[in-house]
Amino acid sequence: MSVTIVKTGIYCSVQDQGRRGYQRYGVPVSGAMDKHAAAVANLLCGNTYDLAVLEFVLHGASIQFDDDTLIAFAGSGAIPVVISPSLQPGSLQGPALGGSLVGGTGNTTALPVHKCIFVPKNTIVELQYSDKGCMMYMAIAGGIDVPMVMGSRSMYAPVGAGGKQVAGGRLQVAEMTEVSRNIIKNMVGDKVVVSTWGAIELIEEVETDCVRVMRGHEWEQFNRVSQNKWLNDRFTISNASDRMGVKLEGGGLQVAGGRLQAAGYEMISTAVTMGTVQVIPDGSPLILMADAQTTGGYPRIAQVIDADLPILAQKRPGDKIRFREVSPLVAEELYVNRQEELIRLKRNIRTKFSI
Amino acid sequence: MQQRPVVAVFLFAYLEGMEGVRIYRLSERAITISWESKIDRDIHALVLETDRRLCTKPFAGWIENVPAYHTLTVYYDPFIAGFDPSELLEEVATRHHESGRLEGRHLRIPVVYNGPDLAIAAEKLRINIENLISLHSSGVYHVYMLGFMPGFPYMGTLVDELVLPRKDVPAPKVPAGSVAIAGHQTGIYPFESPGGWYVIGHTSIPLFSAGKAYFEPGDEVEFYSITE
Repeated sequence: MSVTIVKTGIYCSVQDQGRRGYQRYGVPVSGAMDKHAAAVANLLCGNTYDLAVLEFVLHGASIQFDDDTLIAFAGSGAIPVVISPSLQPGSLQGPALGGSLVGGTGNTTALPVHKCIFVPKNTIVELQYSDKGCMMYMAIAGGIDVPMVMGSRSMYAPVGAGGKQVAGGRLQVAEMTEVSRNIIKNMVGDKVVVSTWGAIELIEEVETDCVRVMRGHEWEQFNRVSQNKWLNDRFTISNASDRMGVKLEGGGLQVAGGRLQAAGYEMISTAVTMGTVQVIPDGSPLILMADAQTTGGYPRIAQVIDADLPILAQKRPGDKIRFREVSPLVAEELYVNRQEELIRLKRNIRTKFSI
Repeated sequence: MQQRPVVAVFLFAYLEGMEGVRIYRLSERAITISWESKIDRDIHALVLETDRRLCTKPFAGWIENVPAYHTLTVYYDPFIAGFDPSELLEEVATRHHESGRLEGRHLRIPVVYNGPDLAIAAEKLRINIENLISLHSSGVYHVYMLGFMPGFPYMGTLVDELVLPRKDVPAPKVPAGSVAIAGHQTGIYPFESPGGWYVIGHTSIPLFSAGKAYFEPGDEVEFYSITE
């Protein structure tokens, strides 16, 4: 079983939930920018939540399926559209257990996110322009099977992980689970079929501009003006943002006494993590993301809570965001709730499709 | 009168364990244990000893530790742990350290001192190139931390004669194996990358391969000069 990336679009990489246990050697965690979306997409096609998926930045990619299979989309940033085979317009009736055949006009049909989708062999899906979001995830039953490097399939070039040659490449897909086999048997045929069930309620509220944070360890070192600015201003996502970090325009953040810009002002480096907001010497905030380095020496004004990292991952350059403070206790509760949601989704799918 | 030394000893033991240990949250999934904020081998020994204790006896939900100069960051999954490990971490960090310093390995690294920044570094330090080489290769350096990129060792401490601030504008391409200095530190770039340290030489030792770093925190490192 394999899938062919005909066009990669703006950027496409293989990602899972990340590489853990090697940060002590300086190896970044990597993994999906929006780990929640990647987990949901996996569960919807019968995978465990942590298998490798394809992460697409915005639109432009084109994917061909070399065999009959199940896929699921999550995230935002593009609209997946079936290019081939051409479909009968408006045929929405499908097999009772499986779902509905996708309807549409002309030769193309948009596919929904947070649903399980059957694609027959040779189907081509294209990611087309969307006016919102940034990261699109496609999971495939069995998971993308590039070699595991240090416990993860996530792309990280310095250690040769994640299948460097995604462009024009044929990626192997591992064997599907029994759950996937039970799902597919009610959908199989020569048409693209979308499940009637899904996880619509788990779609991230990416259109919110409010990102919740807890105080960073050096919060008290920032002067009052900077603290107020941080919690009241709106910041614009810079186009210098990437998988390592989201850079924000509109600096002016300053530690007390103006030492940040002083030559030699440097803290002794310590561990930093995804969501850590460092203030770099020009006074602007840099939020560390999936491929960020493991240690840093800039003062940390805040930490984006885990539950809101997807909001940040789905912002594109030019979007504006603002920050609201919550306590570490609230942050932890929200994280735990999120894990429970995923477990519920997994259980519901298993119950529905148990043998 | 006889009581006094006893009190003093007790107080000393208490201070040794507790002084400067702070616990703070890096995120809802990571806690940092922080000792006195300075670059010091004795403090680093406490970091490594606490690291070893947690690695050999991890708690439920524990994921990984990241030892740094004066901090140890503990990553865990609060959903699996089901409790706040802060108190446990404080207890492990302040438990009496009777075993003393962990012995690091002693490693000797061959260096060809022909780096692109050798001349400019010597000029800025107002010493001649031979002096720079001899000062750099006569020190014994302690590996405090791996970071920046896989296998990059942060080593200290350079003698004052070799202390330079990092470059104002980082070089866009520093080759793999570059031996470099900045501040009181020296390091080696395992992979080609942009970099702001002064490159004074290179080594052909592979610093990161097959999921393993060549150096580990706590190692003692000496450089010796070779010709190509």
